[in-house]
Amino acid sequence: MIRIRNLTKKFGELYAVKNLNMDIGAGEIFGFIGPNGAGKTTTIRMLSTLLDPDEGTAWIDGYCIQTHQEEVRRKIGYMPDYFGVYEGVTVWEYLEFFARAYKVPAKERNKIIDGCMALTDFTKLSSKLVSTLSKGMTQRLCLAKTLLHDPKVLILDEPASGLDPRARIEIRTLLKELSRMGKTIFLSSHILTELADVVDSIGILEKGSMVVNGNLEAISKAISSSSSSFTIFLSLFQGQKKEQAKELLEKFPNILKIEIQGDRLEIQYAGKEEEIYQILKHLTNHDIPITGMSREEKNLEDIFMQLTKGEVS
Amino acid sequence: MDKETMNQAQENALHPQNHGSFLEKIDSGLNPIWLLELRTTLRSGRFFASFSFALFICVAAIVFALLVLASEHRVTPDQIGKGLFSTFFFLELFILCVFFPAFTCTSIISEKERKTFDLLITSDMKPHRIVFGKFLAAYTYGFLFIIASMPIVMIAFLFGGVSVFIVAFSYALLLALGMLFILYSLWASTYYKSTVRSIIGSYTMILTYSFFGSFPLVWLIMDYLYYNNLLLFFSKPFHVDQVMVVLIPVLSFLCLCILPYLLTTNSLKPISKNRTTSLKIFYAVSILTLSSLFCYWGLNYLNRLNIGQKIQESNVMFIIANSVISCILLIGCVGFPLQSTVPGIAFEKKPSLFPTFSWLLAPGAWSGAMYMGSFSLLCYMLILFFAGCLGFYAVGWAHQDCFITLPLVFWSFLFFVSVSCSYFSLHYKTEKGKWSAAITLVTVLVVFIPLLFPFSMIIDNKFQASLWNFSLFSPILCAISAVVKFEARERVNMNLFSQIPIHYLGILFYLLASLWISRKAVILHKKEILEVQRRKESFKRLQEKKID
Ligand SMILES: Nc1ncnc2c1ncn2[C@@H]1O[C@H](COP(=O)(O)OP(=O)(O)O)[C@@H](O)[C@H]1O
Ligand SMILES: [Mg+2]
Repeated sequence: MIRIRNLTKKFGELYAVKNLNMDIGAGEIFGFIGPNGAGKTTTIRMLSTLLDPDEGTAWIDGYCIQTHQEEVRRKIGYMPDYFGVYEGVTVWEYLEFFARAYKVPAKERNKIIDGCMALTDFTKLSSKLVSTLSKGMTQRLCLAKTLLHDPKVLILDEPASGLDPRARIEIRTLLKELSRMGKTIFLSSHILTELADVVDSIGILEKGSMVVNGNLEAISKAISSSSSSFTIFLSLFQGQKKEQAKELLEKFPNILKIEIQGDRLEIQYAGKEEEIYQILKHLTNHDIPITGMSREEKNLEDIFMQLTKGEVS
Repeated sequence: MDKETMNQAQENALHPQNHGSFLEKIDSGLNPIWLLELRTTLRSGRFFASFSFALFICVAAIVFALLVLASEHRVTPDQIGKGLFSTFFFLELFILCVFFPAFTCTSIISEKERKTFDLLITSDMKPHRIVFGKFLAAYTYGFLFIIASMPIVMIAFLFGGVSVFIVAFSYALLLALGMLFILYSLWASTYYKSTVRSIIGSYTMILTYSFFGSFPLVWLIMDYLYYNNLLLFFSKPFHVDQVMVVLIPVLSFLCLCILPYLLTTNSLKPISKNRTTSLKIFYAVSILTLSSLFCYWGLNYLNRLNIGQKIQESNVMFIIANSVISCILLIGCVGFPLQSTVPGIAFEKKPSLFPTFSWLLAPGAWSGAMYMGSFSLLCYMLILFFAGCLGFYAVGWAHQDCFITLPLVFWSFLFFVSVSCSYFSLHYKTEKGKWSAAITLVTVLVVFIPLLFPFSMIIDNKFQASLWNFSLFSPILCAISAVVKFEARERVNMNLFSQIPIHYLGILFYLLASLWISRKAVILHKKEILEVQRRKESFKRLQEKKID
């Protein structure tokens, strides 16, 4: 649905986006992640035909963003990271304005506006002035606006930034709902965990280049398998025999580091995954009272921290 | 309302079955921006306050004028009526200058500053729809402002001395002027990069404009009010002068209105279709041309006042005719060739044998020259037809012998200007010199356009008129003509060319000059061509990749 090839944008000497390549399938939710200043907004502005790329191009539903701008604009619903609203009008009038702008026929207009308002929970607020809405509501209003012309692709730039946790959850539910309606969603964020449970695939951007791109599970699996060590936590009954356990393990092969943390042992193990049980076997053979073992799961945050160096271009 | 019905509705929206009733058609024809602006502005207290303030000024001034006029000794009701009406006219001009720019001078820049602009521009609104909506909204308020003063004008009727015609005429003038002001400040709102600058810029522009523009306008009204003459050349009804004098202001007014409209629309276009550099040069030239025209106009009146000399009506008429036609020519020959975006991948054309040369004329220059050439030919035919029908000959200018050669001179001139403008725009693009735009402008104004006139005139004993025609196209010559007394013209004795077929010389001159300048342009252009080809190739490679 979205296809990006060699997309490059320079501001002066600075490459805001450099040689970006990716494909996003129809109906997917794609999380575009990167630290501040990575070039997410620049990419999104190019996709929504607001900026001209310096090199390369992209296609949305088969239309090139450079040569078929009008078609692209009709295909996408775009929500910028920072935006203003026309303050003197009511919610309904605001949506009506955009419905007219998108040339929604008069007959259907009211029905569609009502539908969009129902979807985004604005039905009761339809005669409220836009200027009185809170940040979260404005965000939702903008989302409602992007739905008016039934776009195939939603391009949302940091839809959840600056929202309270409740509003964030509401937005997430809404996104899932929209995805069920068959829309392709392209959303950006600088916080990976914010997206973890909504997105199908992610792309991590740093300094304008794509660091990693693909299915979320595949990425985390690839990273944990590629990384050379596991962190294992062993809990001992009331912390008994922890010194002894430490000594025992120091002689064990493939163990890089052992640390005592209260009643627990933190072990860095560089061996094979299928041989972890050997550690337990070794310890239980020496009557160490193990009450539990856990492995640190690589969560998204760690992937993110591992992949990005936190430098801003 | 659930999602099913909504989907259904959207489905219907995408595939409309029937076209709906007449009312629905009107409803969908409404400009959304117009509606939105009306909704927000008419609700605000600020609009109401300024509206009341404008009305209050009107009433107060009229009452004051009434008191002053009535207290004078031996004054007839007629004079009171006229006095009231002229007070009203001045006031409305004042209101026009003060309030009208405010309607639009921030309309687009403020959208940018409030960050609503991105949403607007991606919402499938074509630039001309946005500009038209903004203009329409502002004009609606403006209309309200002007029309609201009508009851006050009626007071003047009580005293007499004012005809319905003059009232209608001055309202038409005010509405037209208001349209201009709104369009120019709308342009300012896209041109400047901040709200404050845009406000300052548009007021400067409007005040300068009204200083030059209102000068003849006020004279027009005063002449009619007090001497029952709509200027000297308006005075003879159903004469050829009349036709031209109505046609020409209307034409130049349209030119003036189209300029800012196009400029605004262009600046809202996506970057790859944007033509800013060219348009900046072009519009600056035409604006300067027109303002120097106004300048000349005003100076003429000053002259008339001081020297008390009667202007030759035919002279003025043809001076204006010349300027309008050359203005139209300018639109054609400067505007068109610069349209191509270099380097641009959007520009797709079959490779030809001489890519450089064809680019030089494409995509606009050639067609622009043809189009404008035929337009100018038509204009000439019209003028000559009317002139010939009524047995009217202008001094030294429209001679039937030159019916063919004159347009030919114009065409070659057009070609010359096209090519040189291509060169200048290319120079500007490749060298990125800030000053080349200014240089182009000055060159076009001071050299090219005056050059046209020596070659396009008719050599007989009435040489002077043509010679002086070109004074108004160049600010410098305009200034000189202000200083030089009118009598000086009669003494100009230029028999130098009288034995030479100067038209053919002109054609030759322009063609040679075009050749020379196009050779210079070709060198510059080779650089650009390489850049374009590089971009095209990378684009093509991408397209192929996509197909794989
Ligand atoms: N209009 C601009 N002019 C110059 N530099 C810009 C402009 N827009 C963005 N940048 C630069 O490009 C880089 C990427 O910015 P952006 O895309 O906004 O990052 P993100 O949205 O990922 O936080 C930043 O370093 C920023 O300073
Ligand atoms: Mg951003």
